[in-house]
Amino acid sequence: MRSFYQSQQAAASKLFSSAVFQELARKGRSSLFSSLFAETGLGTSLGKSARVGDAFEEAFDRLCREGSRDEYIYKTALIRRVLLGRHSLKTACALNEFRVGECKADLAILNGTSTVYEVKSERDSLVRLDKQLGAYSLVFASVYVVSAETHLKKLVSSMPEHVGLLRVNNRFQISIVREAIDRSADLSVPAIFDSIRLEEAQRILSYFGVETPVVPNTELCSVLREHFLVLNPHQAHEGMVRILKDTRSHIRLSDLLRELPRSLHTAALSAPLRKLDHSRLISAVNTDLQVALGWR
Amino acid sequence: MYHPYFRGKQFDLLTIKETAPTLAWAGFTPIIEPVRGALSSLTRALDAVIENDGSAIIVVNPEHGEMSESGEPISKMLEETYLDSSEVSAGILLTAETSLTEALGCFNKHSQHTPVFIHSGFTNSKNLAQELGVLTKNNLHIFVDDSGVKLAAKHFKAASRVLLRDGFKRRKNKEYPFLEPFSDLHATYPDEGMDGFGDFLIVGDEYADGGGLPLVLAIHLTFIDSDQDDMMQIYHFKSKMHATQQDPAGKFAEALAVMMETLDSPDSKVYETDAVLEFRELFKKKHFPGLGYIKKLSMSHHIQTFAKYFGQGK
Repeated sequence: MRSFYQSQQAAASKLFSSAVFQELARKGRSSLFSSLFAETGLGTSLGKSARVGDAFEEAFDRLCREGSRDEYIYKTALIRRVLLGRHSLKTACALNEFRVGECKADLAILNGTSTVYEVKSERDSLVRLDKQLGAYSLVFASVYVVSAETHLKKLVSSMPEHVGLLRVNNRFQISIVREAIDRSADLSVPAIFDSIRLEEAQRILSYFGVETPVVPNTELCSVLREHFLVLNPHQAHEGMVRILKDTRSHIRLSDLLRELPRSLHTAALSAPLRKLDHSRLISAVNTDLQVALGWR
Repeated sequence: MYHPYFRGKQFDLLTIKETAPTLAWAGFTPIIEPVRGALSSLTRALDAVIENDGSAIIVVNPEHGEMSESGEPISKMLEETYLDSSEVSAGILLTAETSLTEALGCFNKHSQHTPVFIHSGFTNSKNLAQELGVLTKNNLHIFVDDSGVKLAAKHFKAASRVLLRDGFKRRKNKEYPFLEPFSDLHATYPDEGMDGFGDFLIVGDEYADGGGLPLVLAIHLTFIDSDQDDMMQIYHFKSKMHATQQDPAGKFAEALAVMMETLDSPDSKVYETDAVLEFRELFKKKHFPGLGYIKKLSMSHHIQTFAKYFGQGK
């Protein structure tokens, strides 16, 4: 087997960046794709009839091998198992890069409850982890770290007790090292309010029978906050799960996902897409690779 | 005279549409670089310009945005809709990457649309001038200020020349000073041997590149300082520092309160333009109209301020 050099690996990794995906969605073509794919050197492993979608699958396969895996691979493993495996886009909802305080959670899943996942791949350092876990523990019922073998030992001894730990093995399977402990009764109501949108807070309040008074919109946030802080943590969390499952739903992406290679599902779930982007994306991934390599 | 340069996003085009009477009355010519694939807002802006007997320059080979790979739809629109409209000219952007052949090809292709050259880092000006032959004041050349601008401009002395200089120093919202100089080009362009001047207005600080909301909200407002030789200065009215991106409306109210205090001080030199009156109305109603709308008001105010400055002698 030919070796996969670091520069080739970096290029393969960047193929799944939002820059490439956004360009495909906006323009139906991507010069970034053609130059990055050429850099991976993977073209020779593909037949003449290969399409852009096959190129993504090939690059993804390479990145899945241990030592090469980046955050995108870990997120995909999670999304396949938790969102598209155990649940579906109908019953659950994925929050990507969800902002909590100064941190951004890699992935959170809302079904009957809320679970957040922070990825620490073999390429990540653990420097920010304490801060991240502290922030997520204020907003989500269960907190998991998804990690590479290399970090496991250190994590088991250093993480707070309620935080769970998952590992991704060589065969791309996720196994539980330690279960998370549900803390939905101890969450922070102000932190929940600060993480969601005003119209979501309004809908949560209205679900609990609190109607928002009519005020000028420059005063709306402070008025809503005042009302929201009356909820107890259990209510705030239940409301967040119930309402955000609807407002952040990806159900309208179901048709698109069927048309895209599996390796791009995570990218599609993470990107802000307009309806007219869908057909451009589909035609882009169905383009002959030979043609696409000429995209300038 | 004044040539404001717009990257044609939604609120830029709305600004042109709504200030079209002022632009026309004052003899200002907006330059529009279309950056969105959909052209309907652009045609609405152009129609308003024409209706008011104004003029506009449309860049047919944009450097930025969704049309950067091919400006063909723009050329097609000029050909189909504005062939009879002498008010609308084709702008040909000359960057460091543009070749002489491309420049001339673009010129010939748009010869029906009184082509205007916009020199922005172009290094082949001498040869271009030779190829174009005899120039008159009916030929317009626009120069974006950079280190090579004087050399480029000297080849086009016989033509009408306009100098564009970016007076807006962009940075993170929290880093803007309360007040700083903007530009003196409106008062000095004749001394630089130019027939007109332009700028990139105040590009509002709405959604940053990533599409997020700012921690600090800033409203930009320009004025002519009669105590400083008519130099233009700019106020940056900021909200307090916040830890989260939440509540842009509340931050707007804070920034607006700072603006009102400044406007109502006895030595305020800010013109009470229509845009300023609208800010006053928003303050009274405690209403946040959205970040794009605020940018539009700031741009309108900037144009109205120049219109008033130059109109005083009329």
